[in-house]
Amino acid sequence: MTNGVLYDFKRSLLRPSLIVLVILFVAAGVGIAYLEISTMGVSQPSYYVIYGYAGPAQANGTQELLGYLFNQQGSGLGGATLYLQGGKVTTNSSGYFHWKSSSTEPLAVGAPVTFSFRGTNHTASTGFMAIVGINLASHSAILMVGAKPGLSIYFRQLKRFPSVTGNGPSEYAKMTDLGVATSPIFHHAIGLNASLPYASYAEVNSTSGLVFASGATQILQLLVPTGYASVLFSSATLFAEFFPIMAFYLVYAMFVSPRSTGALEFILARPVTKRGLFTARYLGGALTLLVSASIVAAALGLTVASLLGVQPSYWDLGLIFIGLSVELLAFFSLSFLIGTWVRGTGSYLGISIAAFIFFFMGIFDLIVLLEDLPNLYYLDPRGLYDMIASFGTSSNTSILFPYSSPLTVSVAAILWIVLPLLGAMISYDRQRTA
Amino acid sequence: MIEVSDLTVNYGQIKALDGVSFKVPDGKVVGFVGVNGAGKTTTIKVASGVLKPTSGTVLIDGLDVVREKAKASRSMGWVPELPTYEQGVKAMDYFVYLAGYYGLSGAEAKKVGQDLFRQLGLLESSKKRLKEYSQGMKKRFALAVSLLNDPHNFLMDEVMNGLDPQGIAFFRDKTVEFRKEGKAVLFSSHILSEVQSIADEVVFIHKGRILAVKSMDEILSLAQTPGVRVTLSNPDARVVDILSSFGEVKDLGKGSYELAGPKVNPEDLNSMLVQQGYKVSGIERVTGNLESYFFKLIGEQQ
Repeated sequence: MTNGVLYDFKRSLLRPSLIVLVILFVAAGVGIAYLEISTMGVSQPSYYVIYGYAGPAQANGTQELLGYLFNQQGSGLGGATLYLQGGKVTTNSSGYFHWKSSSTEPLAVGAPVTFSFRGTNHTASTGFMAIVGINLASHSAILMVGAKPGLSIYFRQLKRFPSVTGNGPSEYAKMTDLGVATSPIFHHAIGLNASLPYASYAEVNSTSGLVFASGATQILQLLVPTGYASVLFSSATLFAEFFPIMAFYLVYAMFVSPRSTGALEFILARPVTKRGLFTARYLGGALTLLVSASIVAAALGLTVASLLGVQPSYWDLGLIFIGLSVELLAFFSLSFLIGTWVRGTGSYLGISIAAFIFFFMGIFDLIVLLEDLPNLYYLDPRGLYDMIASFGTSSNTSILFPYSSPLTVSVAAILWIVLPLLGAMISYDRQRTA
Repeated sequence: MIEVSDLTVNYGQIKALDGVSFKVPDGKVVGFVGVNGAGKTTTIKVASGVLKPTSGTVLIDGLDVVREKAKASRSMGWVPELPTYEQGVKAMDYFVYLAGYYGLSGAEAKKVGQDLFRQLGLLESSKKRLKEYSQGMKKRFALAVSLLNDPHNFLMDEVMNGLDPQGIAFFRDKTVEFRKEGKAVLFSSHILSEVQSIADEVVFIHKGRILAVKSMDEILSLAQTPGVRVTLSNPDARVVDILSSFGEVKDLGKGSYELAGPKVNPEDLNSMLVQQGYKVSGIERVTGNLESYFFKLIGEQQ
């Protein structure tokens, strides 16, 4: 029977229609991951003001500084009016403004600033440093620093927020020299390592080695080490929704269609029992589905790694593989059960599609919600995947449905595989014809 | 040896087979004849192991095809009337797959396959997909697969149907060859002249029941009712009365009549009819054959 299993596995895996399906699913998953990563930058503040050095404080206590108002992409907002310390100032066409304060109160750098732009009021984050124009897909961003012209600007990304005492020469020695600031608002394109969530800069007098100013910021909430999981599981959910189509297609191609045409009869005339033939077909198809699930998990891992620069943990990838495999096998078993009950291909397709819609397109979940049966939420064939995904993403439904234990859900998932399989095997074995 | 023992197959209320029993001894070709729906294919499907009987069984070289299916199938070859294979598979690939059930490795199966394909005239088509095969090629492929294990028993289910004369001759020769090799062959066919030419015995089945099991010699002697067939170009109402004086007359229509057990030979009958003013356009002696016995047997059942 081993030869039969291997042959069925090879034939089902190399089935052109199945290869096309896998490629389409992987392409769609990669596309969704890319979209998700590309749109993550919008969680940044919408507007920034960077204050630049425009000369020392005057003896009379007045302050003078250069400011730059810009958006997420680093583009200046010309003609905007900022309200600072009870006064107001208007940006030039490039978004710069020159501020002279007569107040003796120091300017609260870091406090949000209100400004009016094209008749609408907005709020901008303020500081001496900002990282904007973040493109996680291309690992690029723009560093904006309020600088003292003539000083060298150094930059570094870090795993943790840098300590204040770590900003001396020993620290900037580890940094990348981005060049000398020629204007009070220094901006420079930087390569972004998404696995390092914090960034620091230093303004250094190259001659004396003295650090004139330094600062640090968290680049993006996303870039904390677990952030990639959101992308990973969001993309994997696409597979969880539609991947079972492959399972019922395989049963159609490997069992229902040859059975309806009588092609299984010729095989059954060989030295094999009905149970042996059934088992070979099931195992061959199941292996194909497991390989497909592993290809998908690997493709998602590679996508996240290449777009975010973060290597997903094997644990997360393993969970995705297990979740997808279990739901595929559950639907595979269910499809076999349907395939043994009905004889015609039309009946099989109709009932299988109905089962798919019921379990995978949300009807089961809807009934659970309407009937207020939260304990059942994860007990359908895709329940294990849903639970895994809910743990893997921040927007998790486990908050809504905390009642099911992982053990119960795992047992339910195994039963969804085993019971329909046994039912199908017994039913087929008892039937008189092939 | 194939021993069909008290085989009954019910499809719901319909009894497809009702206590069918007969044997196919080693070194014999047993013809299996009956009208459409008589139960020939159902019997053969049970014997091939692809259909479970309601009761009874088939022993293949002493092995029960129901209880010892896998072992029994090793000793049985089957060429179906309309072989159906899975879509899109290449002949040699499928052969290798099926050979796996006989325990052959891929390399062994390919070697055996090339040899058998050569013997059966399929070698040049071994890389073709089975759906591109003609009906005759599909049957040859079925035979190639059946020969994988060089079994001692064969089921030939209407193998002549849909074949060209060359194909018919091929399967006829193969069947004779199997007999020479001491194999037991159950040969089902609608072409009774072919059955007559190769079968040693004939099993007659009708409405799921065995009507008779006869040796070919027995059949021919039973069917050997002397008779004369005469064709007239100017028949009239009197002719039946005239012919009746020579024996039992059967009006075949269009001026043709058959006389069973005539008291005169064809020459005397011809002279008498000419004297009576009839124009005799044809006259011949009629001998009995499997077909006439078959129709006689079936006629008795109607």
